[in-house]
Amino acid sequence: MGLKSKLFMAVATSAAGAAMIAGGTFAYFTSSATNSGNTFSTGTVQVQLSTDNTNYLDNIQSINVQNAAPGDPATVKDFYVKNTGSLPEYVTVLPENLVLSNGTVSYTIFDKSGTFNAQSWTAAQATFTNLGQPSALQFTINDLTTNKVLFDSANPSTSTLESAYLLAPGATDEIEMTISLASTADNSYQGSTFNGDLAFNAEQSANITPPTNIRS
Amino acid sequence: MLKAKILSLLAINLLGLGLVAGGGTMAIFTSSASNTGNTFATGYIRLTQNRDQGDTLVGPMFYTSIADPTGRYPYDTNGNPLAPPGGEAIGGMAPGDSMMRAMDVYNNGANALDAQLTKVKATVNPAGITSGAAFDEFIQKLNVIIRAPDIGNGTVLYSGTLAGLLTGQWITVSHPLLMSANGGATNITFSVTLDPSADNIIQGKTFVFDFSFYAEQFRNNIIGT
Repeated sequence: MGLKSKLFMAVATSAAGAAMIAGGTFAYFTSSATNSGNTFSTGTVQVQLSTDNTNYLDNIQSINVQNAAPGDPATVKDFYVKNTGSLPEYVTVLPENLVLSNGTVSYTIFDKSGTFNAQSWTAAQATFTNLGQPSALQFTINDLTTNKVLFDSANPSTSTLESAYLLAPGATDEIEMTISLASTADNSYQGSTFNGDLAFNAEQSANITPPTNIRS
Repeated sequence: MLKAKILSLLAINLLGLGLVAGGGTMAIFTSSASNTGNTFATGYIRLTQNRDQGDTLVGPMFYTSIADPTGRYPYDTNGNPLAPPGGEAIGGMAPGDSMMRAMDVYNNGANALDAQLTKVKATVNPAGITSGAAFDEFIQKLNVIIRAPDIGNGTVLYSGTLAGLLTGQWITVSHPLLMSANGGATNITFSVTLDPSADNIIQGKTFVFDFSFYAEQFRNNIIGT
């Protein structure tokens, strides 16, 4: 047997041994067990509105007044805010893009982020009334559930719009909006419009830092 | 006469040889003995499990209560108007929610071998959402800690996202867990937290998973040393 042949056999033998060692690591007895069907369901945070406390929608129109004249009875509209999700939630209301305009000048009373523009309101009052304060155009937002005034245009500094209301799943909050044009309104109001949105925002009440102003 | 004697002797000798060569071997005394019934039985590792929420049933740890078949209140909360027992998150999980569930794993049976729990994994169960953006968000934002609460100070076997258990491969645990043969229940807990950063996309969704454990013999196993 030549040298080459001997070397070949030695290598072949070592390889076989290594294969046996490697194969041995896969020979342990094993078993497994499974805990199956573990269900994780996430909850929902949802707020919807209704004018009749029955049919809840994401968007509703509460007030639509045309051809208003000084001295008309105040328009009063109630609507309902409901937690239609499965989780408790804090709900806040923000007037958005609330604009008073007479076709010549416009005043954004609440901007698109819901921030009250006091300066704009004061300027609007100066333009639309010459009969002293407050403005002949008055509107309020009231929480009938808690008997709290959320906003009163006659006294905007006492606004509590930033307050949050805790709604349990299925619970409702009744809100009232009023708008009126006083009989003292002068011609500067002719042909003017006042429109905008009320946005209700909800966030889960669990696992967050509670709002600083919670109405109850 | 001489020839006759010689033939006679040869005949006798041949007969003698025949007796020595043939009939003699049939007469040797013999005996045999057997050691019978030698048994070589292999041992057995048979891993079994049940949940342990005080009910020790074979069933999922995280489940929808039979009092709430709609699954709207899956976590048996006291705040659930359907009033099942227990008490955890109300109305389904919300970001920031945590809960802990327990199960028992056994290495019991005839010829049981000491075993060690070395691997764990999760698999997606088609009873829930199995893919898509909400699924991806959920498995990345559900943090899972698997512990053996009775071992040491609560030995952590796995700590990470659910996605880390869903690779399709067995995941080696942080510390192999000795499970003595017929040693009774090994209590294991699953603590899950839905990360506060979880996105709205997972609202109102249901996900179902299976959790599996893998054990191998302890003796002669380098991991066991």
